[in-house]
Amino acid sequence: MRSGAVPSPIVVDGLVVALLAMSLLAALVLGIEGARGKDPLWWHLGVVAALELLLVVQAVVAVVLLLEGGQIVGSAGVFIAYLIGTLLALPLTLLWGLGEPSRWTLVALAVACVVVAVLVLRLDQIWAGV
Amino acid sequence: MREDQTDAAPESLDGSGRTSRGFGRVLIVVYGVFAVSAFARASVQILSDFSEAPAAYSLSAFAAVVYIVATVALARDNRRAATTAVLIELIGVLVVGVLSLAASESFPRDTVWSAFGRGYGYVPLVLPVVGLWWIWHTRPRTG
Repeated sequence: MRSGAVPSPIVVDGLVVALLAMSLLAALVLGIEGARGKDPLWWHLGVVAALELLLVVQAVVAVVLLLEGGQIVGSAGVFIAYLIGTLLALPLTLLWGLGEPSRWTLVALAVACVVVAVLVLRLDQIWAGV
Repeated sequence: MREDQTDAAPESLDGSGRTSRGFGRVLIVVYGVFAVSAFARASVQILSDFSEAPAAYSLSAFAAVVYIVATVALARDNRRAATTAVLIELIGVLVVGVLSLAASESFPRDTVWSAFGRGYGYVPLVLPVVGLWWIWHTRPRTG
């Protein structure tokens, strides 16, 4: 598409870094807890909820930037699809994982956190047109 | 609760005949991710410019169907359908992997299986092996 100045890149970059750090940290913590054979606890769900909250913030910021005329260098449709993916990954995994609460619920959530990190990275690339 | 890795509990790792239990939960999440992403990728390719690379894009759609069938079959403990889908997946990633490297001009666009799934961190190559192991591992046993 047209290449244009991306508005408020500092805000978005800060969000991307925070999201990458948080999702990978969450993956590590939940993965270790699962490997140690822990059942899902409330604080595990708190970690997931905190990450999801940040993902919602990202989605709102992205939509606001788009509405304010921010131009995606890559495909807008693919960008929106990835954005929806980042919002759904954790809730769906949680629903599925809690169908049988066990250590594997935590490992599954850890996998979902890695997927979120990949999606966030791809979002950033699509926005920049990589 | 179940902190043991042994086969003491009924929902334990092996012998249950159920692919959706235990580690299966994790495996199905990974399959689900590939089902969704392969489906989305194929949809975008076919809807935007199918004529550009009909063979590669048809292959993308086929791969998406295979992942969707594998995901649903594993989640519903349909061992037969799961085995079939995962075997096709393994053959697909191997054949397409070899072809895409040997005759890259006939693969002008990437699919999930191109270059043995390099674009996806080689997960498409490892996944069917883990899947087959898991189906075998959870085979029903008497006694």
